[in-house]
Parts: sequence; structure tokens; C-alpha cells
Amino acid sequence: MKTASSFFKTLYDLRKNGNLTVFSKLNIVSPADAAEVLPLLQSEFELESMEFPAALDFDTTSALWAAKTIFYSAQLLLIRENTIKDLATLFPAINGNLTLSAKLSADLSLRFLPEIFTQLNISDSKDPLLPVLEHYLKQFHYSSIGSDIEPGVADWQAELADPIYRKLYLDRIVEKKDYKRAEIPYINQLLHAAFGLHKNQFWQSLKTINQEQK
Amino acid sequence: MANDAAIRLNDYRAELPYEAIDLLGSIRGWSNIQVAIEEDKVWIKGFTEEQVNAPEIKQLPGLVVYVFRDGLLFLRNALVPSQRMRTALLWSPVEKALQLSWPDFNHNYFGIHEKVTARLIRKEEEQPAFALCAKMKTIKNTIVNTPAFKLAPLKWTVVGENALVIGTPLLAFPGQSYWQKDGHLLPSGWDFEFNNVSILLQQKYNPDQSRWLLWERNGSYIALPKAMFRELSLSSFRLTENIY
Repeated sequence: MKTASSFFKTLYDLRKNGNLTVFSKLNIVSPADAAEVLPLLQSEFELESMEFPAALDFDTTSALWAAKTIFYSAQLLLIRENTIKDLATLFPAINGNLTLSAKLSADLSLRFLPEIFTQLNISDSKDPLLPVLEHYLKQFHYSSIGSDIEPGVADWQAELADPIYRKLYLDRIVEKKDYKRAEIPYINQLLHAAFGLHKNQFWQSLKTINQEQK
Repeated sequence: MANDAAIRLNDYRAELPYEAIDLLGSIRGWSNIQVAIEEDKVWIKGFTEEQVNAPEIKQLPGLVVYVFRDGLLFLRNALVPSQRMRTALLWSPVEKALQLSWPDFNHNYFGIHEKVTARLIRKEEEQPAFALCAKMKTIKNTIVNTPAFKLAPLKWTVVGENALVIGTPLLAFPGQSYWQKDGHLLPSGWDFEFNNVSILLQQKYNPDQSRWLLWERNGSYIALPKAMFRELSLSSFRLTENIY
């Protein structure tokens, strides 16, 4: 019987139970491992997409990239022997236009990254891995909702122009009770519009930010 | 007090033969009336100007109405007093003086098989909406764009081709809304014809409180087990919709 790779086990445990496995040796993800994980990610994406207002395609590249990122960063939490030189190969930058599909596919794994980021920050705040992860979380700021990482968005109105993204973004902010982002004037206004009369039932302690006082 | 008022208010006293005391039942609801019993007479006081002219008073047989002034009783519009008012009288409110008693149990009553139908009638009182029944097809497009946090506190189930959503704050979708009363879901603006049947119906049809009784305007109901309700979410709605 073929045993599942550590990459698959980690991702499976993370998605299904929210646990992260850290191995004693740094395992490099082989193309075969990646091929094994893809159907898992795809089915997870399909389950999640039931909550999306409209159907979206699964972005293989970005989902796999995010899965690798989470896998490597989890391993590097413990295994720091001779790893600095590998940082560039383990954590390649993702380029190109990030579509909504890419953002949401990456979010499957990236949503667990802020947790790792915090742990890493506690153990060594000068870790060279930190800026890399921070950059990712800025890029995919949908996944960093609820953490202290600044999204670095100048024009929120343009950023949240897509109604699907906007809805999911607001849902996530309310779910995580992210005060920092909820107090961004544009988002605050959208949230109040969504809460309507029942604001206190949904989120009583949320401040009302007046756009004019900006 | 009344003596100094600009318009003089009369302090009325009335005298009624004791035999007619049961007839006072018609004014038992007037809480300002006081009654005292003196041998073969009943004294009544505390009337307002309106009450003393009311048909309920005028119809009492043998009733004499006096105006009480300085301890003396004058007939109405009389200049000379008719008699002196007795002082040592024990006044008590009319509902205390006339005690109610239940009629004897009728052992020969055989009407116990008669049935009372539960009917709903329109009521003006405003009630907060607690449940919403809407066609799944109608709300399909709206629910897609409703924020997830608005759906999360609600529960829902499928009734026929309708979705029944319960909880607050409720969604503002087109459909029939219901309000909650003792475990009944009644159409908004409607209530049971008799107020006290509500709990009796629950005891009979829902003794363990495990169901919601969903009422129609025509007085029929559907019992929905509470365990059948699921958290409302877009995925729950979509997956259910695919089955139907």
C-alpha cells in the first residue's frame, strides 16, 4: 500500500482538523507529492465555493504555491539548520495578476499563515523568513484578516471593486472580528450598511467611523 | 374637596332594599363604588355624575338616590333633608362586598363531547417577526448576496417548496412572516381567537416542546420537529436546493 507523503498528511490534517504536523527533517515537496495534494485542495475549494456568491474556478498554481508555503514555513518553525540559503528556492515569489480565483485558492492554506507568522515572530523577531511571509500576507491580505499585518492597500474602493470579493472580505472581517480593518472608513461604511438597524446584535463594540472626519 | 370646586359636584348616596343586593352585580365592575350594609338596606356611595345617571343605576328597583351634604341626605333637587346619614357604617369596595361564587357543578351535563375548533383571527397588536416562509426559488437570488454573518444566527428547514427561516434578526425577504407565541408560529397579524387555547394546544400536540407548530390562517397547522432545523448558510441552501 502506498503511504501518503508528509506533504499530503500535513495538508490533510491542516484542512480537516486544523492541526499542523512538524517533521524532524525538512522534506522537499516532489512533483509527485504535489500531484497527490492537488485533488485534496480542489475538493476543499469546491466545498468552500458553496459559500461563494458565484461559481469561481480553482487556480491550481496559486493553491499549490500556497500549500507549499504553509508546509515549508511550518517546517522552518523548528528546523533551522542550513535553511537560510534555501529561502529563495523554498519561498518563490508569486507574480502576475492575482485574480480572485488565485486569491481564494491560495487562501485555502494561507489562512493558517498568520498563526505561523506570529509564532515565528515570538521565537525570533529578526528571522529572515519573516519579511518574506509578511510580503505574502500583504499580497494576499484576504488571508491575513484577523492578524496584525497591515494590508497595505491605499484605495479600498478599487481593491474591493469585485462584489464577490467584497462580500467575502466583509464576511471574513466580521467572522474574525478584525477591528483594525473594520475601522477603515470605507469598510466601516460598508459594514454599517450591511448591519443596518441590527448593528448591535451583530457587532456591538464596533466603532462607527465617520467618513467626513477622516 | 368637591365643596370648593367651581362647579359643585354632588356627593351621591343611594339606598337599596337588601333583597335587591344581587342586582348590584351589573355595577360590580365600577371600582370607585363603595357599599355598606345596614340591617335591611344597602348603602352605596362614590358615584360620579355620569354613573348616577347611568341606566345600570336607574334600573335598580327600589333605589333612592340622595345627595349628601353636611351629614344630611337630601333627595335630588330637594331643599329640605329627608334623613340623617348613619355614621357607623362599614364601607367596602363593591367587588369585595359582592363575593363571586361558582355555580354548582352540573352532574347532568352531557355536552362533554363538544369540540372547540382553533381558529385564527386578525389582531391589531404589533409583534416582532420571528420566522419567514418564502419560496426557495424567490429567495435564491437574494440569499446569494446576503452577507454570511446575517445568515449565521438563523436556522432553517424546508416546508414543501418553501424555505422556513427562524431566528432574529430576520432576513428582509419577500414572503410570509410569522411571530412566535408559546412555541406556535402564527402568521403575522393573526392570533388565536381565544387567548388561552395557545398553551392548551401546546400541551396536547407538543407536550415535550420538541416541535414548532406552524399555523396557517385557516386554522390548520404543521408540526415541525426542532431537530429538523439546520444552520442557514449559502452552502446549506445550495446543497438542499440541488436535491429538490
